[in-house]
Amino acid sequence: MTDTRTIRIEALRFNPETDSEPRLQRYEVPFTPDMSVLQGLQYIKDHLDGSLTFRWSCRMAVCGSCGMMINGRPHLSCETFLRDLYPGPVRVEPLDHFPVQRDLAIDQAGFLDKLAAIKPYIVSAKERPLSEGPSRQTPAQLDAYYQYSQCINCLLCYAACPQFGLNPDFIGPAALSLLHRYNLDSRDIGWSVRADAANADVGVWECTVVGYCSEVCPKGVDPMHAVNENKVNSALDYLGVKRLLGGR
Amino acid sequence: MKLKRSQEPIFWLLFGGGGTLAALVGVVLIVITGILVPAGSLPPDTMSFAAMHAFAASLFGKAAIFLVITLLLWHGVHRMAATAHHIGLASAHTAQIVLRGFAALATAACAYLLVGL
Ligand code: FES
Repeated sequence: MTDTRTIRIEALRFNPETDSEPRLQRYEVPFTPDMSVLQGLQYIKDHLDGSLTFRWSCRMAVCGSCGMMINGRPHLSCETFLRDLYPGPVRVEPLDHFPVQRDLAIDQAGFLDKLAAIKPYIVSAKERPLSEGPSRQTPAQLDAYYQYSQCINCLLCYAACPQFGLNPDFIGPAALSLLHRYNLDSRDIGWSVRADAANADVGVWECTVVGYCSEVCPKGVDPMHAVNENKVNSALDYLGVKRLLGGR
Repeated sequence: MKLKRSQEPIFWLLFGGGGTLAALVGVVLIVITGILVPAGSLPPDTMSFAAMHAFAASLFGKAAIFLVITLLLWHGVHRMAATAHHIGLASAHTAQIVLRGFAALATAACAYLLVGL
């Protein structure tokens, strides 16, 4: 095909079980204008080096599994196109601040604990019998939390967050955005359910408003805003006036 | 996960109060005391000892001076501590304690001096 060009992809290789340190491996990859970085990696795996390890599933920016550092910035590799990075080279590395499992695949276990800590599900005041039918919300009630519900747990925001880099215990941008998402949902009890996580020293107070999380989010979520709304909530809670002034 | 309540809200509220006050009166004060008075654009006795003393001796003056000095100071030390942390100083935590200690001492000194006026 006439519009096939070649670009160099430099991938970080690391197997913690056998390697003492990571190294970059270079691959010359033919690509067409419709190919993403993920497809470039799949080409490598299929044709050049079957041992290269990376995660992916949906290929359409929905599942959140293909996040990696591309030329030093956190991106979803399925929606980053090789044509935009031509003439290259394209450096791909695992997401910053996470332990590496193998090559570009990071260990997400720490994040899953944090997610559990913020209770990422609706906690309602009373059990609702099925006979009552679906819970209804007004468009305004949906708007209140909609953007935060778009999070796909891709962890780009953690790779962007310098505070998470300094303190891996920080609950972090995505989990705190989801805390806000459920607190804002009219079907949920709200603040009191998740106050201990927000108020914690590893909760909202670890954030110093750098804001890079909101810049790299591929789904238009604004974690910095969620965290800072909850600094206000947490401060009101600290003073014992959250119920009086802060609403639900 | 172990969750321990943070004491940060106290300092954040002082920081926020100082930031608001700085935005409202900080620039105005710099323009008046740093530019207009030295340049002679305002009446010469605007900042005379007598005028300033009378202001500082009034209840409103005491409150205004106390709030402007201490809240702006707490705002400033919060920013400096955050900067120490951002640039990755190994001693950032110590810096935070020293800066907050300084702000606390200065707050006490300010109150003491104003009450004695
Ligand atoms: S492969 Fe699912 S988000 Fe990229």
